[in-house]
Amino acid sequence: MKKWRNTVDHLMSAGVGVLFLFLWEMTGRLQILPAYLLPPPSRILLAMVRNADLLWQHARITLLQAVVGFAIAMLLGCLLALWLDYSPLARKTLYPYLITSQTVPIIVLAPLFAMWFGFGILPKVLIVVLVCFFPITISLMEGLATVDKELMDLMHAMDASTWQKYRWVKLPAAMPSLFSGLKISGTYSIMGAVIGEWIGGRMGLGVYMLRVRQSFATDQVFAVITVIVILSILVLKIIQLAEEKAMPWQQHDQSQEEPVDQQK
Amino acid sequence: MDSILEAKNIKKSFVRLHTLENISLHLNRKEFVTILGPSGCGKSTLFSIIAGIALPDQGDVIIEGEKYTGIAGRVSFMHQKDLLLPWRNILDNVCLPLFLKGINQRQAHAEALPHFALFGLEGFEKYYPAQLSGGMRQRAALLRTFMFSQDIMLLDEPFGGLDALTRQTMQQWLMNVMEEIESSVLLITHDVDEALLLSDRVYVLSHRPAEIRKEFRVNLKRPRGLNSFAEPEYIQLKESVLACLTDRPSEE
Repeated sequence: MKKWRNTVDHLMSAGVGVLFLFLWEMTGRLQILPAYLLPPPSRILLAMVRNADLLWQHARITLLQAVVGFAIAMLLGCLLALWLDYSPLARKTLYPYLITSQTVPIIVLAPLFAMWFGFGILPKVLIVVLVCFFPITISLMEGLATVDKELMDLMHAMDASTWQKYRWVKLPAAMPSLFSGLKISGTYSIMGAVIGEWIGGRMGLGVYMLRVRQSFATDQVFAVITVIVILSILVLKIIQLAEEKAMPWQQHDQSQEEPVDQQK
Repeated sequence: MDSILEAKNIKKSFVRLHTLENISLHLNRKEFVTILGPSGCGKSTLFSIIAGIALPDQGDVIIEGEKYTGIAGRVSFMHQKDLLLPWRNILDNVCLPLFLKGINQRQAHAEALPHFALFGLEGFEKYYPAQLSGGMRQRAALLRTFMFSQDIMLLDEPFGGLDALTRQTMQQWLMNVMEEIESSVLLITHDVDEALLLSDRVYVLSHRPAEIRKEFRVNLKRPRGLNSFAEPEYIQLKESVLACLTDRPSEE
C-alpha cells in the first residue's frame, strides 16, 4: 500500500515535469515566442548533442575547480568547526566575525580575486571555497553542539577522554547535520565555479556561456545551463550516496519496522 | 559492617536551590539498596555526586576505604534513558566501556559475549538500538553498565521510561539477574513496589532539601515474585514506607 502510494507520488511529480516541458515546446512550435528569446527544449537538446565535445571540454574544467574548492572548503570547514566546538574562547571571539563575513556577497569579490590572482584556476577555486565553507562550518558546529547532554554525562562518568568523546559520541552524532551542510555546499560548488569563470579565463562553462551569449546562440546558453544543472545534481547524488554509506544506522531509524522484542 | 561504598554528610546547593541536606548512606558488598524519594527531590544530583561527575559542597564519597569525591570512572552509572549510541550495534554499545579503557575490539567482544544470554540479548548482537524494543534496550544499557564496573552499579530509575507491563517483567528479570551476578547496587526510584521487590534495604528521602527520613530493612524471603505482594509482611512494610514517604513536614 505504502509502496503504491510512493509510485503515485513519483508519477505525479514526473507528470508535472513532462507537462511543463510540453507547454514550453509548444511556445516554440506555435511561434508564441521567437526561438532566439526562448528556444524550445528540442532545440536545446539538439544544441547539447551537437556541441557535446565542446561542452565536455569546458565542463571538465568547471567540475575540477568545483571539486577541488569543495574539498578544501570541507577540510577547512570541519577543522574550524571542531576548533570552535572544542574551545569556548575561540567560539566567543571568532563566531561573530564568521557570521559577519557572510554578509559580504561573494559575487562582488570575484572581480577583486581576478585582480589579485589573475585569470587562472586559483581565483575560481577560492570563490568555490568561500561559497562552500560557511554552510559546512555552521552545520558541523550545530551538530556538535546539540549532542544529548545526558549522553555526554555518561561518557564523563565512564571517564572518557576528550578524543574518545569526539570519536564515539560527538562526531557520529553530528553526521546528519554535517551532511545537510555538505549537500547545500555541494550544489553551490558548481555555481561558485561558474561565477568565478564569468570574470574571465580561457576555459570553463562560465567562459563558454559568455561566449555563446555574445553570439546570441540562446539555445547554446540554455544547453550550458542544463549542463550546470546536471553537474549540480550529480554532485548532490554523490554526497547522498556517501551519506548512506557513512550512516548505515539511519536506514533503521527511518524505516517504520516494528522493534524486535524478546522477553526473558 | 562490610561496607563497599559510603556517602558521608553530603550537602549540595545550587544557586537558589538547596538540594541535598546532610545525606549519609552506605552500601554493603552484594547488597541491593534503594533510595526512594518524591520526584525532583535531588536523587539524581546525589547519584552524580556518588558517580564523581559532580562535586558536593560538603561531605565525602568513600569507596572501599578510599576517598572518591569528584573522581569519575570508579562506579558504573545507568540512566532512565538507555543512552545507547544509535550508530553502533548492540554488541559495540555494550562493549563501549571496554573500548574506552583501551581494550581492542576482539578482546572486548570476547569479554562481553558470554553475558548476552543472561541479559536476554542473545542473537541480537548485530542489531542497531533503534531496531529493539524499549525493554531490550534497557537490558542492553544495564549490560553496558555491568561491563563498566561489576562491583558497584548505580541505577537511576532504570525502568522509569517503560510501560507498566514491561516494567514489571523487567523488575522480575532484574531480580533473577541479581541472583547470578555479584554486584552491589544502588537504585533510585519513586516506585514503592519496585523498591520493596528488589531491595535489601530502602532509604526514604524527604522533599527538597532532601535528607534521609528513615531507613527500612526489607526482610521478605527470596525469591520474591508477584505472590510476594500478597504477603502480610509486605503489605505492612509498604504501608509504613508510604506513610513515611507522604508525610510532609507541617510547615508545608
